[in-house]
Amino acid sequence: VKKIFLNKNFLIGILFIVVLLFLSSIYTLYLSDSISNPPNRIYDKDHHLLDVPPYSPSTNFILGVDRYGEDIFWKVIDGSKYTILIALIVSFLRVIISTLCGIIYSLYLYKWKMLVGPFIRAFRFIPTVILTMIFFLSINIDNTVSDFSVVLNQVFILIFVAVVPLTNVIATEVNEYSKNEFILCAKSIGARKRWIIRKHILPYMRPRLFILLAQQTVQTLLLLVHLGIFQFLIGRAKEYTSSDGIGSTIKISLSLSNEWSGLIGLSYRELMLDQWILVGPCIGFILTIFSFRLIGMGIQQVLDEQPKQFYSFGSPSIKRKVEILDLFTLVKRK
Amino acid sequence: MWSLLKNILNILGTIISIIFIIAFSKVYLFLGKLQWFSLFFKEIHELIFNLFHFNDIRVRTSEFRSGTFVGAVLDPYRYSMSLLFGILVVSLLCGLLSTYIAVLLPEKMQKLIKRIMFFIESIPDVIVIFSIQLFVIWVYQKTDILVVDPIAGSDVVYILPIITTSILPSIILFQITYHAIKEEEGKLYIEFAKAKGVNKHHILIVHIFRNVCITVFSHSQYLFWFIMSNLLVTEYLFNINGIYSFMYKYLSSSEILASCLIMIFFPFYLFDALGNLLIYYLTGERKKIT
Repeated sequence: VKKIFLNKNFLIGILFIVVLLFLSSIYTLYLSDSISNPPNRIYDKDHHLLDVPPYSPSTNFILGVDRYGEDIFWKVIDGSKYTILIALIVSFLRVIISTLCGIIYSLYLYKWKMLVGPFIRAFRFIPTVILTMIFFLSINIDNTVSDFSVVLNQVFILIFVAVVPLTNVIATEVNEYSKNEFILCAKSIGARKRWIIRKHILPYMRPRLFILLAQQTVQTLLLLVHLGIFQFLIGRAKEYTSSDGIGSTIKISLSLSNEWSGLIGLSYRELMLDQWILVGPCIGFILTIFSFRLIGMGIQQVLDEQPKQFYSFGSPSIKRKVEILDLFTLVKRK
Repeated sequence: MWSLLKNILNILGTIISIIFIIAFSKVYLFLGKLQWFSLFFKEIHELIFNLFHFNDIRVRTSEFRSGTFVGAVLDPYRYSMSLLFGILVVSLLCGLLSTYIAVLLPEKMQKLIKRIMFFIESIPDVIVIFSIQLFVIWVYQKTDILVVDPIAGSDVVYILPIITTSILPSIILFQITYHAIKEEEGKLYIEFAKAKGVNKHHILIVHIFRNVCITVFSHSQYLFWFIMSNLLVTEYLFNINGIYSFMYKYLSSSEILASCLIMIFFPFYLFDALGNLLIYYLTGERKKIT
């Protein structure tokens, strides 16, 4: 475990995430009051009107200011904690639930593979975005439920959508692993399934689950981007009517929480008008996904460095003893 | 004979599962309430009934007209499938070619390329599409040359969507192939060939690639799946009238959704089966379809 914290990739990744989360929570707690909103109009010395929001990026506003006069940089920072927390919670629960299901499936229910297989394939092949969207649609029909329960339902759907394919992945992994000789030996000596799970499978799976966690977080973030593009938001959107002067009114929905996917999806129309409004959340997404992938790669590297027998013997100290024993026997034979 | 029956059973099972999932999504809101079970079965019953009479499904093609589902879906379907095929071919070519070039480069360059690829892979496909569209428009503004049409309307575009969508799959393919080649390079027979003085290119193409192909094909199903799910976003952002946009338009009607998904499922399954057959042919080992 110590080695992980010495790994460069892992450190960079986790440092970025922690700093971002820290900055984000500080912003909502303290900074949001002290940082003043960008001015509504910019005049030059002779009181000529220079610019109105959206302003393009400049030294004052690093990522520019959006159509509603809010600084995008702070908006992105503010939204980061929602996005990252949702992704983390969703992927954490995904991994836990599917590990449970996967172990049960591979050890107890593998006889029913013919029946379960097509079901898993169906889940795997329907694009996750479409799957999520049809579930989200059925939630949105009902307008009476509270905001919180909507978010809860949506998080549940995000978890549920990936559990089935993930279960399959874990089940095949467990199955491959249980073909090892030492597990067959343990079985023939009379070890029960529960014992094998606790002493062999879980220690083997634990570090791999962390890699899976990092991967799933990336997947969830990507899913959030896609949902944002199709204007499916986490939480409920605030409907916002604006008139463009001629008389026609356009309904615009604003995401309530500055959540990144909402920021991207709702200002998608700006792509052809003022591109920098989109650039902010995009950079946020790229950096976050990159750092989660770095974390995953770091764990992977540490795992690869360790000798393979490590897991089969349970703990390194026992392994050392075995080596010493081997030496002794060699000496004795001579 | 048995394997044919198994395949048919597999396909049927998957179709039934698709129907179940869609019906489940419709009644998701009532989960945990008393009437849920009966609603669920009613939904499934309706869906299956509609699917058996799929000739009668009507779609609103414009505000005042409606047409049959079959007539409306065929064109987008053909379009999407040709896009899919194009993307697959382009990403296979790009991925393999870039690996071939990368392996021949000196060590330091290889490391650098790996780093860059790792970074590019973490850019969401949406952002790739955004930036390429913007780039094409920027070129047009500067030089007055519209290289390719950035956004499709009623007409059919192929080049740009195929290129943009195949960037990420080819990078994934690159990484798979690269790892496989590196693993293969350490083996004894390669060293033997080198010692004999066989040409570097000859070793790569004739000996390594042949063996690497197996690994690549066993991953290609994942690749295919990845392309399919990205095609949805591509079609939406490029305003393409493909099957996925069609599905998105009629997201709330379950029978159209189900029949579209089943239509997409067939080439998917075919590809799966062909890949398995190819691996079987190459290695003599039968890999199970999962």
